[in-house]
Amino acid sequence: MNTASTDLSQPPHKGRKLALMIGGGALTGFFGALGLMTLIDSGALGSLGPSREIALLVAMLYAFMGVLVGFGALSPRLGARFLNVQDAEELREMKQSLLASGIGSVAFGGVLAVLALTGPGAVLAPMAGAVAAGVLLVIATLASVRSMKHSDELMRTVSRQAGSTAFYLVLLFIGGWAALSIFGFMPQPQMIDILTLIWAILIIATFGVCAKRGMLGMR
Amino acid sequence: MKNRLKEFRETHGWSQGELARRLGVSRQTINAVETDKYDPSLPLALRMSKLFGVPVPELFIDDWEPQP
Repeated sequence: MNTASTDLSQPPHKGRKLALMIGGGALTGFFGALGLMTLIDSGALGSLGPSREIALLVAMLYAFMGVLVGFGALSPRLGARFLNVQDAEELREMKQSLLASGIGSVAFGGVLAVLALTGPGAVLAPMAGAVAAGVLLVIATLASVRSMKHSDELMRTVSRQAGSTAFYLVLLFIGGWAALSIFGFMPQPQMIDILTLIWAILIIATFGVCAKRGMLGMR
Repeated sequence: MKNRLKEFRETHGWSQGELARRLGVSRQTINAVETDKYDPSLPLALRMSKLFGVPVPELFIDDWEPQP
C-alpha cells in the first residue's frame, strides 16, 4: 500500500487539492441545488415562487460553507485536504475561530432559510418563523463575536474591509434596483429579494476582499 | 510594502508556525505579510522588530524619501 496516499496529515499536492476543491465544490453544489429544487418541486415546502427559491439556494450556500469550515475545524487532517490551509496543524491552531465561524455561517444561512419559508404559501407561520429566525440570529451573532475574539489582526482587517465593501455593494445593487423600479424600468423588489441580495452581497464582498489581497491563491 | 520577514525568520531557523506562535498571530498572517499581501499593524511591526532585534525600517522596506 502506498503510505503517501493514506497519510492524511500531509496535505495533497496543490494541483490535486485545487481540483478536489473545485470539483468537490461544483459536484456538491450541483447535487445540493438539485436536491433542494426537487424538494421544492415536490411541494413539501409549500408554494414558494422564484424569489424564495433563490433565497433558499443562497441560504444553502451559507450552510454548505459553514459545514465545510466546521468539519475542517473538527477534523483537521481531513479538512486540510479541502480547505485552503498549509496543513492540518494550521487548522488546529485556528480551531476555535473556525468552529465558531462555521456555526455562525450555518445559523446565518438558517435565518434566510426561515425567512424564505415563512408567510403566505410557505410552511412556517409568521410567529413560528419570527421565533426561529430570532433564535438563529442570536446564535449567529454569538458565534460571530466568538469567532472575532479568536481572530487575529489579519482576519479582523479582512472583516472590516468586507463590511465596507458590502455597504457600497448594497448601495449599488439594492439602491440601484429601488431607483430603477421607481423609474419603472424594473419591477419592485419583494422583501425577500432585498434580504437575499444582502446575504449574497456579504459573501461576494468577503470573497472579493480576499481575492484582491491575493488570499484565494492555493497555499 | 516589501519586507524581509521571511529572511529574518529563516535566519533564526523558525517555521511560519513558530514565528506566528511567538508573535501571537495566526500562521495565515505571517504568510500574508511574507508574501506582501498584508502590511501588519504598527504594534505587530514593533513586536517583529523587537523579536528579531532590528529596527522596523530594516524589516520593512519603503522607498519614500522626505522632500528637501
